[in-house]
Amino acid sequence: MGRDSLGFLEEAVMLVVAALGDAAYGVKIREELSRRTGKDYSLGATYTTLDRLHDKELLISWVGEPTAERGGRAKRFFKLTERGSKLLDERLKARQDLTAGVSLKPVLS
Amino acid sequence: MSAAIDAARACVAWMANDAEREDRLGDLEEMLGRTGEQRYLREAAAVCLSILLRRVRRAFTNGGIDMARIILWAAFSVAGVFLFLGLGGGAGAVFVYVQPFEWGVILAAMLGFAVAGRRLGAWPGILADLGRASRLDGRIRQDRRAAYLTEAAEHAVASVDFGHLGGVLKIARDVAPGEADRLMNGGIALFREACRQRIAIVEQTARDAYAGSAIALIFGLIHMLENLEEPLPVLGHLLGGALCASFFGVILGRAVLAPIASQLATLYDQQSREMDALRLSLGGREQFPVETFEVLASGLASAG
Repeated sequence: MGRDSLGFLEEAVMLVVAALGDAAYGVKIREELSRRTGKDYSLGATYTTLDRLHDKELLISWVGEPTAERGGRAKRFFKLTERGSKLLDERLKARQDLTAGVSLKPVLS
Repeated sequence: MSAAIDAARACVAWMANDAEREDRLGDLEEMLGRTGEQRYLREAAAVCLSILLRRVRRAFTNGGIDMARIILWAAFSVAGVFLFLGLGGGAGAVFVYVQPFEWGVILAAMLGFAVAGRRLGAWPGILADLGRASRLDGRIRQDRRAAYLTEAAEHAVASVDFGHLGGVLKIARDVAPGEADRLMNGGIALFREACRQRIAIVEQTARDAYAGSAIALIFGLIHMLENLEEPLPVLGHLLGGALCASFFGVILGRAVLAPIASQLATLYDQQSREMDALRLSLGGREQFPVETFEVLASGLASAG
């Protein structure tokens, strides 16, 4: 897949990262992703998607301060890059355009 | 169950790289507090799998196809040399080189030497370097050095080709300009040392192939003596194989490994010069954005 193409999970993870703001890190992203999609994603699947988005330069990451509840280990936070925000915005607009005026009632009843 | 948790934790710690180990283990630790041990084990397995998948994906993106090309090139080189020698020695003599036993002994000996000398781990990096060399060489020939630097600036290659320097550049963002120059110098010295080690490994592997030849000759003769009750044509083939094994390793070393070492030396020398050029151009600056590579590239293009 090209650097500007996004799969469903990639798009969902980017939306979750955007929604969580400065609190977007592994466990939180997984929880929020599972809550919003209604599907129980594993931490591994979340990391795979985050890594891929990071490689595509759609996300940046940085390491935060260590916390006690994590056994004194630091969190890695994620944030959308400018290119990531732009791409996500384009995708959402394209989706709105696609769904505008669409009726989900059956044609024949 | 806690033993299983410890094992899972150790497995994740072993598989993860330095940059990701802390946060992966931390995330798992946080999940353990919220879910339970059963879920922890499942999540740890998924994390290990994600690390493995990422490594495979990156290996293919960063030179998997080039590596396959190099292996094919090596196979053709060896086949070409044997064909030449075989035809020179008379029709039908080519088959005397088809000696799985002797080849097996040589390759096993080389593998054994590499494992004992802890040199095996360096080979993926060496092959990736060769792949990168072949990919960039075409561009350099076409557009001189500018293409090389533009390639480095535009793609992930920058972080690999300029790996050591890249690390220093990151550090240099937070230090005084004079200090940056000193750090970059250190980075380049480290890079040169790593290059020297890689070339030495290939040269040592060539010597291992020669030693493997001697071992294969002895093993081949023993193999022949074990089969003395076989008819003469079979014995002849076995004896021919044992004798030919004495130069199988020499061919492997000279036709395959020596050219690899020389290609690596050329590549590293070229990269080293590029790094010096970058250091001289960027040494006095406080910040080193990736765009600077492109500026430098255009500068070199107009100068070239």
